[in-house]
Amino acid sequence: MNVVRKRSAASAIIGLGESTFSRKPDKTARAHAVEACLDAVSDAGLKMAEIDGLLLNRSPIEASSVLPLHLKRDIGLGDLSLLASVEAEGSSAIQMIQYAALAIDAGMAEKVLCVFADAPVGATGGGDAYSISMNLVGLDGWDERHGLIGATGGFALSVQRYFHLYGADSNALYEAAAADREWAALNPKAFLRKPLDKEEYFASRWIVEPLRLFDCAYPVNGAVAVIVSGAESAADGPNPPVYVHGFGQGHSGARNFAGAEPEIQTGAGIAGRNLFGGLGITPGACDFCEFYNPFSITTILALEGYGFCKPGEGVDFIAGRATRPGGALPTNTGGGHLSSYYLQGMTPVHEAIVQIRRCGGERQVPSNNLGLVTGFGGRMEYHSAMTVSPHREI
Amino acid sequence: MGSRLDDTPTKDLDPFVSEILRRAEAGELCCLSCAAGCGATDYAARICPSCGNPVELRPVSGRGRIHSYSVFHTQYHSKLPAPYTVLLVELDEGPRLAAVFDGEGGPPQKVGDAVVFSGAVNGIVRFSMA
Repeated sequence: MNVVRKRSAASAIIGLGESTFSRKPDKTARAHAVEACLDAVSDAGLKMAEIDGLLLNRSPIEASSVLPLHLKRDIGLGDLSLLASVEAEGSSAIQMIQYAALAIDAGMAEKVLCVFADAPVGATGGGDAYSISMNLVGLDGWDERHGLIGATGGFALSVQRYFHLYGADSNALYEAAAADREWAALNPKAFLRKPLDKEEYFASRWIVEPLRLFDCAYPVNGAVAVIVSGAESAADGPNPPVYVHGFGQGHSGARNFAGAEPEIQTGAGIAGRNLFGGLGITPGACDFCEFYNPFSITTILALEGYGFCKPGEGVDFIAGRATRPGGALPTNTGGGHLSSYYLQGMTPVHEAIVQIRRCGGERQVPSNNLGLVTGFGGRMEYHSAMTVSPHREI
Repeated sequence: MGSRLDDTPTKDLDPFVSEILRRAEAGELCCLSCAAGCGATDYAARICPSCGNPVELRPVSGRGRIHSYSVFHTQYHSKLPAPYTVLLVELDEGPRLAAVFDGEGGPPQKVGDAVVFSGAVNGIVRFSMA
């Protein structure tokens, strides 16, 4: 179990940087990464020479050359005491922050730069961002051979299973997508900001039935970087520190075999137990949530998996407007993957930092004492989660 | 514990796949099963989850139920014109396998419906309503 049993934060995020996000083919992922790294160092009020650790995260469908260790030279870093690429699909962004925090706590480094960059949008759009083989059956090449293509195909199976178990239908997916869009309308950096009405949703084309276009994330080219520091010096910089009290990973062992429900029983339950158990709190202590949500169904599954709702009750929770602006549990407050932008694990991390810093403008959550941030890979098989807070002690 | 496949220096990452397809095209669907007799495993296992012994191919009845399904509206390769339905079939023996639904245009299938192995052509395993 990965548990940090501390109510007094040992580490904090002190810098946030981003490149210019684009929906058109523009720069390479590496060029985006450079921009975001420079921005993060400047945001933290540091000099590049003060960075002594660098962690990289590229899209799982890209080759290592897309975001190589040589990025270190691009941004003029000197001698480092920590350098690695983290590859755990969509759970990597939070894993980078966790490994940075652990390295700092162990005395390996003091200021660790963590960057994700991706440029999936080419001449034919961004759909390839989902084309990674999920290999659900477990026989190499079997899924593709049988037309079970991409993440959308895998999650379509999850949706159909969820509908069967709990009697839900497409209206549940619409409500989840529309809730995210309502937040996006308040986020100047979101790409899809027009309210999503029911007619438009139901008229949108099937990607893989029962998932429609508006159930799927909106890929962009871009990069986000953060700087992790020990908590002692975190308040020295120009921006309010984002204290991280706990981390939890959870990687599901559920098999495709009778009796298991891997579509519903995901790594979220394990990550949530590790995170909340380690802190000695319950999910109810969270004021807001930033979920990794590349498909509408995943917000429903995350609310249930992390324990905010009982299995099957996430649908009514969302339909009752609890996750929307003004609701009891503001969720995906920048518009999430569906409506703001899809930069994998960094989309929820970025928004969480904005909310803790109280830079959310119109979408600022009223209470930001504790937020949950999540990331996942595979079909919600690999999970990482962390809490964020403006307070060093919780 | 490593898989016994770890030492196999071959570009074919999964020799089980070609053998399962070869036998399916000959009319016999197989699952993976513990060589020491613990019974069927899921298709991802390369050792028995119970005892750690190797797994081997065993014929199954070909009967199962729809655990889930989805309908693809894009054609990805020439042998599968869209729309087509992918079933995640739970075999009576326990393992779950992706297969193409044989019987498009018939009454819509549902989760829980009984289905049966109807053959394999061009490396694609199909199931139809039982």
